[in-house]
Amino acid sequence: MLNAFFTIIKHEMLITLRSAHAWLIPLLFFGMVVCLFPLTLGPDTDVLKKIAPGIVWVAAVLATLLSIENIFRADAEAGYLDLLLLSPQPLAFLMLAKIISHWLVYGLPLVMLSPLLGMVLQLTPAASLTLFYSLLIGTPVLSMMGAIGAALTVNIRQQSLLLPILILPLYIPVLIFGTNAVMAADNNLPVSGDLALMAALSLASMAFAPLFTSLALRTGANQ
Amino acid sequence: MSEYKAHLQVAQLAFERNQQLLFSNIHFTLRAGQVLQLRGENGAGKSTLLRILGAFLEPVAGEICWDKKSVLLNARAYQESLHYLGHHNGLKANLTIRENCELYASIAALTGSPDNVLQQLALLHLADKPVKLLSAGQARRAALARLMLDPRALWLLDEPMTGLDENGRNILSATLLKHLSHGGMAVIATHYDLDLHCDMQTLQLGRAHA
Repeated sequence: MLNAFFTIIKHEMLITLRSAHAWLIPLLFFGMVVCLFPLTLGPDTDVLKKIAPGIVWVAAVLATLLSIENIFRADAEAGYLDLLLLSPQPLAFLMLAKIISHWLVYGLPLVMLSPLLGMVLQLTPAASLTLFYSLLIGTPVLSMMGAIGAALTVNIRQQSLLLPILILPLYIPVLIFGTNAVMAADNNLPVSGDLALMAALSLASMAFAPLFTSLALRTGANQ
Repeated sequence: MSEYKAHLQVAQLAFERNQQLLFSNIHFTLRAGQVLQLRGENGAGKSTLLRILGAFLEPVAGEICWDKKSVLLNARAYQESLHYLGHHNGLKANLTIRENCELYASIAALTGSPDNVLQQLALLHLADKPVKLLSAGQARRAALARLMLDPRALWLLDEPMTGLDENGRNILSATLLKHLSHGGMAVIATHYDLDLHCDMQTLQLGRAHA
């Protein structure tokens, strides 16, 4: 079972390495959306500082929406999803591996880029560091919840706007805690409470999202 | 010699799409070593029936029993004992044949090297080529590898001959006969006559039948 877990992660990473444009586009999108704000808001750093955490988090959500849409699409079209359904391994476990690979490929680069964006948005070093941590803890939630939506809509053609409508509400808690933590750090307030709550959300989503995803895929095969 | 004991029993099966009856009253029993060939014009529901038999889709009426147990209630155990080869090969385009085999082996909890099977399929020299660079026939052959790597009792094949050259068809027939001689079963949807000397039933789908 563990072998399947790591083999899936390894092969999903291999696939991504071989199609660089697939993971670069959401990352570039993320960077560009964030960079548009300092350009359009002008040189007033106070305004920018106030909305910077929100900008980064919303951009991260949008970038995730862009990438999560295809997490099962290609697999379904290739008939590979059927193989997973016929596997003797627990499907939820295979899904956990798949979603973790998604996060490693699409979520982690967003986290890595965030210190640079913190500079662009003129955040203090403390706020920038908190932004980094909040994304590190919070972006797994985006992948996990997104996967449920992607599994529910995998067989619906022309659903491009259905997926965001389904999963954006699920992102609200993590968005609130994520931006709150960065704002607190900017005001020299303690951030551990917000980060701990995000970690709880993250762990809970890791426990439940693979189950719901596999359930959705089993019913979804029933198109 | 029979490795597989279970048999597949289908009764009164019906399916409708967009409130139109696609087929109804499908009956058959498939025992160890038997093949069922599905015939019928395009759109007669062959592929749909195969997906129902694979427990991917639920029928609107009727019952499928595997080993005398209803498939609806024991879908997991049933699905572990079947292979489904649909129109798509189930291969990842950006991985090589060998990597696809490795991935399949880990998902299906198999051990051992795929080299022997790839040799039989005359794919060993292509083993390190990404699937997206293979021709349609070569990719189809690569898909057959999992039938040979992973012994499962029931094979559901949807137009398995598509894209295969004569040599490929011969390999498929030989593999199929070996599977049947071990007590395996197969349901095959195809437009071609299967040139197999085995215990074969034919099910005609379509308006004439309904």
